[in-house]
Amino acid sequence: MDEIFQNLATGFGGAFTPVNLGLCLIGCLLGTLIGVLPGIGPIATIAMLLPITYGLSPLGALIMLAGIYYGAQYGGSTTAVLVNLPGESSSVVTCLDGYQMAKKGRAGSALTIAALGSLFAGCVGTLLLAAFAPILAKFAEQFRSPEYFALMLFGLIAAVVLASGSVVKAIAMVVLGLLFGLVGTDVSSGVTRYGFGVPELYDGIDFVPVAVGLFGLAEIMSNLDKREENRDLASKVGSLWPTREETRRAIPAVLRGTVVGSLLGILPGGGAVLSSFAAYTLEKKISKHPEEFGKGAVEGVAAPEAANNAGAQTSFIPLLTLGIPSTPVMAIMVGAMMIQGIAPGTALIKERPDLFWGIVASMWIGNVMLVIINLPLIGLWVKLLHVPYRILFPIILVLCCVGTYSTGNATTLVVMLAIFSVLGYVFVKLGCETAPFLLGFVLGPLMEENLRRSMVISFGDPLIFVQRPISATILAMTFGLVLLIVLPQFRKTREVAF
Amino acid sequence: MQRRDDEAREPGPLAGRALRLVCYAVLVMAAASNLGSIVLAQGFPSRPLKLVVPMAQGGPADSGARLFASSLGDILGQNVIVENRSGASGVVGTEAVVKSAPDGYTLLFGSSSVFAVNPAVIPNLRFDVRRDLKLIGLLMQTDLVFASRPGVGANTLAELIKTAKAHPGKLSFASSGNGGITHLLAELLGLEAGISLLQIPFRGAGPAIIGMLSSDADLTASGIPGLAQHIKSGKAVGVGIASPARSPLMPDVPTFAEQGYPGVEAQNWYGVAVAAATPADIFETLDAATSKVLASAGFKATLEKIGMELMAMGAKEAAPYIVREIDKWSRVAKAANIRLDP
Repeated sequence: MDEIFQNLATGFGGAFTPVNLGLCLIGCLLGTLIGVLPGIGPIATIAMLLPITYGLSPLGALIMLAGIYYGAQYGGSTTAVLVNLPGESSSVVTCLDGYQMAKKGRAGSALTIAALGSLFAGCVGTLLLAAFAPILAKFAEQFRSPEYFALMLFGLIAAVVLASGSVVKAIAMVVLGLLFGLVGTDVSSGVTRYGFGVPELYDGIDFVPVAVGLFGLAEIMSNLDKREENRDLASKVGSLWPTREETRRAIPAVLRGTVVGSLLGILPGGGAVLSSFAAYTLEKKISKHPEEFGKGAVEGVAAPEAANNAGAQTSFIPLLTLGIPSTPVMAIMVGAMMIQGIAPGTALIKERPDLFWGIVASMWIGNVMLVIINLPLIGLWVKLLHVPYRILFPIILVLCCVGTYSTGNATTLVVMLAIFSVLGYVFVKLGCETAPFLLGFVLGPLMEENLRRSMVISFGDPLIFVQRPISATILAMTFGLVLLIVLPQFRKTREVAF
Repeated sequence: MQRRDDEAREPGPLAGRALRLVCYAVLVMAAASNLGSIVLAQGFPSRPLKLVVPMAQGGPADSGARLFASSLGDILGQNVIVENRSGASGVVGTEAVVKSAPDGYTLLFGSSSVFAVNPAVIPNLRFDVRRDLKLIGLLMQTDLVFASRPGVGANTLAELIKTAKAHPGKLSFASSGNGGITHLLAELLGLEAGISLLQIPFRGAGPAIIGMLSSDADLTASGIPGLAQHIKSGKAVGVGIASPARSPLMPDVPTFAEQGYPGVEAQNWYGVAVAAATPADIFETLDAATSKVLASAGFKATLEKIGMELMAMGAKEAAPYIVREIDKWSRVAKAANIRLDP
């Protein structure tokens, strides 16, 4: 234990210089900004800023890039709460209850809970990283394609729980999401599915137009077809601080979200996507009032936000200890490290302790800084809701189009945005929820890829999934979840029958 | 102005004095770059140029493209804006340049996939890189290294071939994707050595490396920077380098040629091209500016930092080189029956 504190002291010594603090601030500010703008994600920003870091010290460069990463995670949830626009796949879940809270005039409270929950989760994630990085990395190494398949399957079943309405509709939406996820070149065979001769479709449908269209623009459209006085909008602005009741409910949710996020974050490839979804599902399952979820439940904001941020911290573990990037952002960080002449990997802790612990310390500083930047800003963000909607809607529309276009510099993306906005409007009209659709869309291709790879490795023997202990455990949990979903239905039918 | 290194080196909060210094630096650099600009074609370039990069942001190739764009911009006295148009293994971006106005303002930063592999594995492309594009030159390259997991009995090429022959079809190879360059390299090795490897495609070279490290596959291949640290730490074994000479980044790993298979050769290389109908005087301006970039010591040094090597092959040699490469990969694709849809 002493050793950890000594190491952290080394790290803080390195990170607490005026220059590094300044870089951390710039990174966090930039990150918050790009997180707030829909479509412009941290990947593009870090890639564009990479040349700037050539001239910085290695620690300074990494501190700034890491700041952008957390800042974006945080900024994404701001728009999710205020205008139902998820900037990142991780903030989709925040839309579900965060936007509903905003509609009830609790936008400030939702943002404060998100900020403080993220700070707590970030601190825990950092401590975990400091104390158990090598052990956790060993755990992540156990994950092969059968385990990933089992994890993705678990996520898909959990998606049904995400929905607050009809189970049948939720299943239908997951399946529809899977179908859309299949578009593009199949990784295993190289065959193009549903390409229709459009080269932009060969790599699959991009996430940004789907998420922005289904959530943000569809919401705007469904509001516009009501008379002005009946519009269901987040224009009431209540107290910026959470009430005592809200705080009481948020704290345990943050704790649980932190655990879920920390565990999933260390898995390379797909774990981080699941963390906020998984945390939400868990909250809804164990809650005493699951009917409140999707209608502005505090836990539905606190848990996924904490999970998301804890995962963002622990996803550095495989990178710093094994040299394995767990997300595309991490892959870019590897590039940044190599330019600085640092090889991320097992040797990093031993050879460059100043750097390793400096980054760890800067994560903590970055989290504190984000709260310092964002708490005063919450008042300002919430004021945005006072802007008349005849002005706000066109601005959102333009920002969404620009952001979507810039993810791939292609007009096809804007066309897709339009298509998915209309589709989202249809979903709203039919009373179908979009979150299960989106989870099916994101997880489907990953699940298929890992399923087929597992089958190739086992030479076609499906027993590979039950012979491996971790995969078998996750599959058993999945089965348990299916029972949980199905049993109440049976009970109801029986009640009707008798 | 493109962001320059000096401006970027400015750390943290901007104190007034530092800001003034930066302004001076930018002014001086702007003046210097004007002096250095060459005027061959009248008035070209009179507006910013666009460098289309048909890959996603972030990888070493993207960094290389951005480095080239800013160096080229300095010499031409105009901004060169990088535009990432990824999709369909580079076909989307390539097609955008093929269809662009042939005025020299739209350039393509293509990889060996774009110039040599795609034409070999995609039979119904809507363009022909040999006919529709004009290469200004090949700029940079990374050597590919073939690696195995320790304990699978493939520490050298001879061992690999022996193991593969003893258990046909059991030794698995994690490729960066169907019809990608590492897939073709593994097939080329299979053809030359008479062995058959079990292909396990991944979404890109990074995931393929992780796949091999986590025991989803026994072998993989990638550019040296991706595997260097794993080979150094003993998590992977360097089997061979698919280049004529050993790499300075990995001097201990022998080439395939040294191990008796000189034909097994593949590199990731990157070149720049314009639409074929670009006027000759504009092409010469771009050609001269590119040669200047390639000759500068700073460019070479920064390239090496991102794990790339300078290639510097001019337009005259580049055209026949890509024809040879297309022929080589067409042969492999035909023998191994690899074809992609788009």
